[in-house]
Amino acid sequence: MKKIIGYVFITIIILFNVRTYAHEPIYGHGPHVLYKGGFAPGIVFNSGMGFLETEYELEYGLTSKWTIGAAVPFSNAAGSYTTENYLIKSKYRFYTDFGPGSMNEIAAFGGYRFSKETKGVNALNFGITGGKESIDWYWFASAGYTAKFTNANLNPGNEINYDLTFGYRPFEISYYKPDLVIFLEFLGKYQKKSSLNDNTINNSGGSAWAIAPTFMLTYRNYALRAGVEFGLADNGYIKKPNTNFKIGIETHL
Amino acid sequence: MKPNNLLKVLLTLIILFIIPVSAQNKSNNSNKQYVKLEVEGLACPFCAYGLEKKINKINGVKNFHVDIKNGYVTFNIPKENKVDKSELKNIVADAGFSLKSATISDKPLADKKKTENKD
Repeated sequence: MKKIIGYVFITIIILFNVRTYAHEPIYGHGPHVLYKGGFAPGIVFNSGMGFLETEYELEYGLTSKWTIGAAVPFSNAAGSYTTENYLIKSKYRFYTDFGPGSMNEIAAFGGYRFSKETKGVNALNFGITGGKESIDWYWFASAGYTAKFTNANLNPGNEINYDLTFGYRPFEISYYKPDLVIFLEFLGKYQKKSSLNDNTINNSGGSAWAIAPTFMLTYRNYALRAGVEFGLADNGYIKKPNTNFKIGIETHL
Repeated sequence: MKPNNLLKVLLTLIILFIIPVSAQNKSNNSNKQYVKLEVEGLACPFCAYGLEKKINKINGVKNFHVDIKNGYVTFNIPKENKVDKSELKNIVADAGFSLKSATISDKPLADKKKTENKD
């Protein structure tokens, strides 16, 4: 039983700490997609609950509106450096409003996390994200739902996630110089009650909120993103996130 | 060497080297098409890389320059490599942006003093 709870716990942490995409907040979501035919390999380092996770990502622009990707995480959570649950993901930008030096966008996103354990938790995540990107400032807002599937006796509750991000570019934009954008991300989630042998566990489920100051430093087709997430508050039977950091390196090819 | 002779030598050098170089430049310019694209949605350098990559696939593209702040890109291509505006519109769309206008000319179009400096 403890082993199952351990796997569920690790799965949940990985699921909700790794959801980055090209050129958007590192903890939250954004509507941006890759250009047609573009490849975006990347590495994300994430300090979880006392362990370091490394996720290798690859994204591809099927069209100028549709990006697909996959990620393979490794972590030392179990005392050795092992692969974790694989992820496939996709994002389709279905609305754009282009202006001089600005872009309003809305996109639908989805992903599926495959558990490597027979009785682990598979998770289907889907949602919508939109916002504005301009040469001076940014905002993004997103909401998503995560349905969890498992053969285990313990079935963790499904989740609703939402985030709101504001970004500001403190220095004048130039294609030929390093470019810095500072973000402030607000993150929230509501988790439904879990069940054990189809019986609802009353002391489970709840809400949690966090804040994450982050930044994105880019030069041409290279990007460094990093930030720290601080738990703000919680309600019910889930805990706010422990303070953790995340660093991502990415390039567009 | 007398000053008069020195002057003659200098004049000869000018005639031999500078005038032909100038003529060659004029000849090169006349073989180029200068393209300026006004692009909407250009809001970050990281995203603009896709535009550079797409435009550099046009045969013979040289001197690609992007000015994100003012929302345009410029480049030149040999005259024999014709591009039309619909092709340029598709290239910009594939990069994830929207083409507002395209100007193709035999003469340089952008005043680089007013644009982003590559240095």
